[in-house]
Amino acid sequence: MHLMEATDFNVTTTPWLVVLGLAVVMAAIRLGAPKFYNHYIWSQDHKMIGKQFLVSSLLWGLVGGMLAIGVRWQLAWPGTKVPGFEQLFGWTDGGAAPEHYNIMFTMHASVMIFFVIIPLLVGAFGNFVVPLQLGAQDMAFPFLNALSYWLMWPAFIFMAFSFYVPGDGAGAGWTSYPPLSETMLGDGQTLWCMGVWFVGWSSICGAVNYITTIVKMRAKGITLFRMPLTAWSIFITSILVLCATPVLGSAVTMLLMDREFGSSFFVPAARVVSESAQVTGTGQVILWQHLFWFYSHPAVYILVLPAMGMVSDMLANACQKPIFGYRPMVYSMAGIAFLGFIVWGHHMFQSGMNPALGRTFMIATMMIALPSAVKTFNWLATIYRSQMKMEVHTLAALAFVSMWIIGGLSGIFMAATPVDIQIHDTYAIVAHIHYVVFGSTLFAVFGSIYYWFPKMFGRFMNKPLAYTHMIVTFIAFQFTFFPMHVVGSRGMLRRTADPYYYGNLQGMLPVNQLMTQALLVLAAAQVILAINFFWSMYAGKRCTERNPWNATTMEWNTPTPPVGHGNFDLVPEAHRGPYGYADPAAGGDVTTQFAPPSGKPPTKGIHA
Amino acid sequence: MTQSIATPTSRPVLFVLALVLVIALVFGLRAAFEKPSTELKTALTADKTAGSVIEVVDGRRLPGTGNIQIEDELVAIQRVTKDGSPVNSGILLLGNPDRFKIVERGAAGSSAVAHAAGAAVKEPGTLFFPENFASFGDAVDGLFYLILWITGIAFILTEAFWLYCLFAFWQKPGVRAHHSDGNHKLEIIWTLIPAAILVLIALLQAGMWREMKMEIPPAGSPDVFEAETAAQQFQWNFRLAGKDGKFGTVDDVPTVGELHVPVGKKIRMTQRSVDVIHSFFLPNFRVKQDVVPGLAIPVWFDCSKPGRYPIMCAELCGLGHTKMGATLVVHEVAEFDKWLAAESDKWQGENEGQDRPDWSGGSAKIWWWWDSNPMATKYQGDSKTR
Ligand code: HEM
Ligand SMILES: [Cu+2]
Ligand SMILES: [Cu+2]
Repeated sequence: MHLMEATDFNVTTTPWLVVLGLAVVMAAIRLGAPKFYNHYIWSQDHKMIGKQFLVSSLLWGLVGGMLAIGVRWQLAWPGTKVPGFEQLFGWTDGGAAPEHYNIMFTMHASVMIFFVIIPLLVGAFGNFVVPLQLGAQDMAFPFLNALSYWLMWPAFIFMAFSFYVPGDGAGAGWTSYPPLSETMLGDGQTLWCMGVWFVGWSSICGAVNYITTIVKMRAKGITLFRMPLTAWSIFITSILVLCATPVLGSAVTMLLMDREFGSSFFVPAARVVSESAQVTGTGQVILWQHLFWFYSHPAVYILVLPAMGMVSDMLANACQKPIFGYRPMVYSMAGIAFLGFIVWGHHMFQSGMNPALGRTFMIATMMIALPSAVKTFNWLATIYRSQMKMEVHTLAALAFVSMWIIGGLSGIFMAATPVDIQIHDTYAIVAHIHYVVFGSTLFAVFGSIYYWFPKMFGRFMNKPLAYTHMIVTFIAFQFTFFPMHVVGSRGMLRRTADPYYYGNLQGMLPVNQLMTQALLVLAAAQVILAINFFWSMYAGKRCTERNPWNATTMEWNTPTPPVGHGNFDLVPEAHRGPYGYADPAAGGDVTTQFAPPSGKPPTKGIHA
Repeated sequence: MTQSIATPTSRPVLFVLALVLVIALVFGLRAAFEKPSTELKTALTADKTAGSVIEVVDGRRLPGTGNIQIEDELVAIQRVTKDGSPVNSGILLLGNPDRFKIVERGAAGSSAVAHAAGAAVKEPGTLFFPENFASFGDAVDGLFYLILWITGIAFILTEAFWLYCLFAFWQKPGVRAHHSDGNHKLEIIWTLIPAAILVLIALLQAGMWREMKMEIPPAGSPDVFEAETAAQQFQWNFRLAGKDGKFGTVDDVPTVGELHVPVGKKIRMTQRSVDVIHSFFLPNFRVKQDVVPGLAIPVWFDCSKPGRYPIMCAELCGLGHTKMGATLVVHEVAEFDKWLAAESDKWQGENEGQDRPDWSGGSAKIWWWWDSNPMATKYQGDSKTR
């Protein structure tokens, strides 16, 4: 057992060798093909780095989605092999054994959160869009920017290897609560810790860069309150990342030390493990949960705030109407960010934390529902009396708003402590997670891909395929996740390989099969996206206009795609706020932020 | 101005899509909640032997392997092919034979299948929470339904407005969107109203939470019955004080996978874990409490009806987590007293005179270890550690 034998650092060396190998390959490319290297590998151009994040996240998304199918397959047809998993992972049970089920849901969530959603939002769109929206030539620290991308690679490698190292993979949930995560014998859990650690570094490098860029690099005329909401959301998110991620880093370091070097931060007094020698420490089990959620609650907002910003930009464009209540939108994001730091205990109501403290967290949690509600009303008011364009990003933004309502409302049940007693650790939580992270964030990401793709690659994505993808995904999504609210409140636990072991859950098999069948449809729809994305990159219809969507913000004032390193061919200067749609001064037409003032200055709205 | 119409093509398409979505959701959910084949249950009741293969017409809604509860019996079944070999490639979607082999069968609670798995089948009579038997549960359910009403109304209002917009505001050639970039009065209204509702919900629950988690009935009063838990990977060990009313003596009654309590009394439990975090979940009593190594956490509930109810482990605790169930057995008071006295005598007979009570059975080691462990006793019965 690790804890007892301490000090021998027994993670296989292979993943380290692979990291080293990657560095060697990079060095070789640098020597052999320096141009290629500077352009595609160690690019310091925010646009290329954004694309790098985008592509690697989409590929990891396939892995995460496949693991989700594995999880759901077991819930629908327990004890049967998931097709292909035997060959892929070398599991002779094809994912049917509980240890492999545990790995599947642990890695599904870890991959989706750390490798897909966070890098997509902050790494890909933050990188590509924010400097353009600010009229900046690049990020403040291009080197740091490249570093932030390449720090993801050790994490990719460690996490990928965690499936294959001796012992077993990481299977203590993405929350990795000790002591379970400390007693897991396989090296997978250690690799998981190191992976998370590197992701943390990457995030911090990114956050420093965004904050500096947004504070220092805005073009003439772009005051803070003339920034589009995407830039605002990345600004606020970066502050969250900067304050919260070091806590996660420290926590996983402590976990790693407990696992490998015999410390006992999280090892309590009086514990036996698997009837082996008694292990005794002076640590606190619940300490991990406090540290973890102190990061991970803000992190769930890291998972959604940028999506909110991007949706706001897309929605204004789709509706051809300014965002209703621009300043309340900014203030509510700031409010969410602030409150986000004092609600972490709502994940711990049943954890053994002092119940009096639970009450404090309950009140803070109720309060955080408020700015979320305000944002919803503002989006709805934006849509009201608009003139919506039939575009794919219109559908995405609309889907976001309606799914966000469901995810937000289900949160109120969990905030109510006595109700949470019943639904904590059940599928009701899984439903909630997915309505916010998939229903809201991922739909925003889909929309953003369709919206910014022409600017990124100078080509359009195929529209019929895009509509099919959006509509099928939306419908299949409801069937995959909505019933989880119901089975969860009836007592179906999450993270159980065979829930039908319990007599009181046996009646829920059919509905689980329905959800899994819907997931298969959902997954098929993502294949459409993947094909459309990679095909359009090379063969989509060319886009030569600067501003194909007739949008108002600064990124549309660049050539398509933006010129080399430096972005702008015209001096970027903003003359007004970001949402000059239906501008009365222009006779109801669109006035871009960058259009030079004509004789008539644009009229000011209340919040201009 | 508000009269904008959807583009001629988009409106019917969207309308049909929305209709299909709603109809499919309603019917899909209804179909999905139908009970798994009663036919199989009947077949299993008739066929008594393990090893035999039975066929049913529509078994597709049954797992590849699993336990089926038939009255007081648990039957482990495995889906098999014609020649009796297990079906373990999961292509069950497409007409696999609906043949099941009986692997094992035994009375619920017998080790034949697994302790107490689903020993108490409660087909939930309600759509959401399962039936409640605890005195504080009605208040919780009331709160749940209140929130369901509030969020339900908010959901319908906002989503109906959303749907209305979805149909009403598609671009019409030559028409401009209405210009508005905000409204202070509206912002204030839609901040204050939800705020008031949220404060209301917050206030309503404070008392409930205190009653359930903070006002643990004191040990020693006549209407309180005490029990202890030592959760372990992957079983629930319980202990009741024997006839002498004290824990840690030779007449204690240890049980594995079954917790016996009298009806009507307030049950006060001390929850401990010896290895990792588990979670003590009684779905029919609105009780859930993580069981944390290093802490002794008090929990209380009461039960209004004798019977057998599921105890579930709600926190991932490792490989066997998925089968870490147990049964709560609620007895009539008189019957319980008789049972406890007999058990207590039995254990006393076995343990008396031994240096260390060498209790046989799965729980023995744990309780012996617990009572003799200096680090553990630091936490013995000390509910102030929280
Ligand atoms: C492709 C569609 C998806 C499906 C079908 C799916 C399915 C699931 C399922 C079945 C679980 C529960 C595992 C269990 O029983 O323990 C789960 C958990 C989870 N999923 Fe997804 N998921 C999907 C997409 C995503 C995305 C995009 C994210 C992005 C962050 C995500 C984040 C999570 C998280 C955080 C959990 C909780 C894991 C845990 O705490 O153990 N999922 N998902
Ligand atoms: Cu949270
Ligand atoms: Cu468990």
